[in-house]
Amino acid sequence: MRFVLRRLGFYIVSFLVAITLNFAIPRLMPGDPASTIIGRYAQNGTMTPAMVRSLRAALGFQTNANVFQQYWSYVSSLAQGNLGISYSHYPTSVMTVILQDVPWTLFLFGIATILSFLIGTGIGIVSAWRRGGILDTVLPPVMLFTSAFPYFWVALILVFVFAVQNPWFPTTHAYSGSVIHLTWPFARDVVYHALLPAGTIVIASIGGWILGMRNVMVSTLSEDYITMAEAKGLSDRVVMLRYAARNAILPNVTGFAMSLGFVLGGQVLTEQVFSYPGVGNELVNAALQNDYPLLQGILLFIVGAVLLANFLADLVYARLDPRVRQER
Amino acid sequence: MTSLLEVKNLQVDYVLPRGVVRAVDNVSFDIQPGEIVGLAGESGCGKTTAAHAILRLLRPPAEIGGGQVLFQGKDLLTLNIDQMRAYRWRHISIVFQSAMNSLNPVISIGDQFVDTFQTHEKLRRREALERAAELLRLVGIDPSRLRGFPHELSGGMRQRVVIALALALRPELIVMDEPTTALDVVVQRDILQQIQDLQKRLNFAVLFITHDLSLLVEFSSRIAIMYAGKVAEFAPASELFHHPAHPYTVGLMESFPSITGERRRLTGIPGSPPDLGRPPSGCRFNPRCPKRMEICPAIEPRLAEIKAGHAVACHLYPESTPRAGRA
Repeated sequence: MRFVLRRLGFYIVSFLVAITLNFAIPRLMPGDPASTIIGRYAQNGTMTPAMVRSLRAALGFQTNANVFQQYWSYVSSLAQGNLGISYSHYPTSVMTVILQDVPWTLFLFGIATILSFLIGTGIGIVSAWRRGGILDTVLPPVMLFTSAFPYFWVALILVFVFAVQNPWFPTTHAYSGSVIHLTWPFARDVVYHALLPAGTIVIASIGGWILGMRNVMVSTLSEDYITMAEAKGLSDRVVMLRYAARNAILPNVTGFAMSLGFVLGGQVLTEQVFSYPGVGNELVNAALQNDYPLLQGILLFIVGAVLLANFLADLVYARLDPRVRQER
Repeated sequence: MTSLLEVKNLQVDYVLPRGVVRAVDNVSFDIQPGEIVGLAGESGCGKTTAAHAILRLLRPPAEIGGGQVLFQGKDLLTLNIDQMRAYRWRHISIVFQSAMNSLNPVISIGDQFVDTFQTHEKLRRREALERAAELLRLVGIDPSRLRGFPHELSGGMRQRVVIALALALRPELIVMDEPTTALDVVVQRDILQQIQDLQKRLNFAVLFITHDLSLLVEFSSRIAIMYAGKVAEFAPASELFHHPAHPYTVGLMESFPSITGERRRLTGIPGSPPDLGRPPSGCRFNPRCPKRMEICPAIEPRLAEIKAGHAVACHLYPESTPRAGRA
């Protein structure tokens, strides 16, 4: 329990630091984002000083307030879930925009990452166990090759082959039509749309899981406790899973948590290729349209997700490895 | 009476890219029920490989090239893997050299007893834990440790736990592969004492592997000396101590100080063990042997009895020279 609290404390402090940086970075830029935007608006017609003032206030740049007052108002509105108003989706709030995108990204990349991890780790275990077998001879070089593929390249190839040349799959978006309704046919449609982008993630990332698991597992298999487990007459399955894989999986779990954290960041390029309505796509749009509040909001979400995933990884790790649990 | 274990002409090869290395060559010895037999020799002489071969724990590139391992008259080398599994631990258990690494670091000590019991017997978890607690008490470790993990124990305690595990199914034979080398001297003594006490109480046989001959002399009833994959001498411990026959055994004896005997210079054996990929011709010890004769590099001596129960492979004793080679 003390272990959990200590880790939790660490992540809360990290999050506070992230919030502060998120507040500070736009203010460190030469000029300020508000001026840039006001400049752009001004091209479409003259702006009265009153309009400028109110826009600045809306963007959170109350110039008459000092930096501490600004920080306080930033933190307190953050605590209320107020991330400001998006320009590109004006007058929708940043929170609303992000909350629209997050489920899609979580669904697609969350599931794809979990699948890739589970399948990859499983193949890695078997491949190391049957060392020198067919699986173990063919897979490592092939996986080394595929794991070097960039995501967007795999995405383009998949679209070209399976959506353009053979129109088996849709080329873009997360669902047909424009209305979301919670019915089975709609759910099927969503899965159908998700297959190619999810396939992209699995193809491009599974090699890493397989190789990582296999390599650690191979060295674990030469440990004395494995020989001892065999000498005890335990079945192959028990030796492979409870003795070898249980020890060898630890580094992969860390890697898994890291990549889960980055899931929310979205596979920017993959989402671009498939025009998937997720966080990654939104991030690109926000950057292109100078939508600073949205950019800041998304970054904050990503930071939060990475920290949360790492916290979960710590918990899982402590569960898997008694040596980490030690309370001193 | 049949021997508990009889190893006959055992041969183990390492199939390496540069060629086949015969790590255990034509090794034979026997162990009677309740007897402690020592297997001694320098590092790399094949003693651990021979021990692992008995339980068929060798992994590629090591392969058993031939011979027999008769356990209560049954040849273990002819069993299929499931039959072999039933023999492991139930009849023969093993204690490894590295106390530090013999236990799975991520599962509790109790669970490592439970899986041992449950593999071989129909036993509920609670009963298994009760028996495990009893075993821990037997080796002087508090049963509350069952809930703990290996990293919470010292090296000596871990080795005790491993010994308790080895005793779990009351096997007839325990192979001990240098069980104390990774420990400091004081702990070594304790553990050896404990093994001896347990052995007297429970009457299991031990194949004790070590490079420490002085330790074996007081500890075991008979000793086999291995050199470069072959048995050089096999004799009762006191006979070996008082009348070592093979020049290699003599050399080994002189490389240890005697605690009770008179002061003398430690000499050791000049040179180093041969490369088993290209062993010397004739007697494998001949390049290092202080008593080398003309016949030694030419003809390989065979292990033959020079007295009842005392076998040697050395041309100093005419029994060892094959008939064809005798003048």
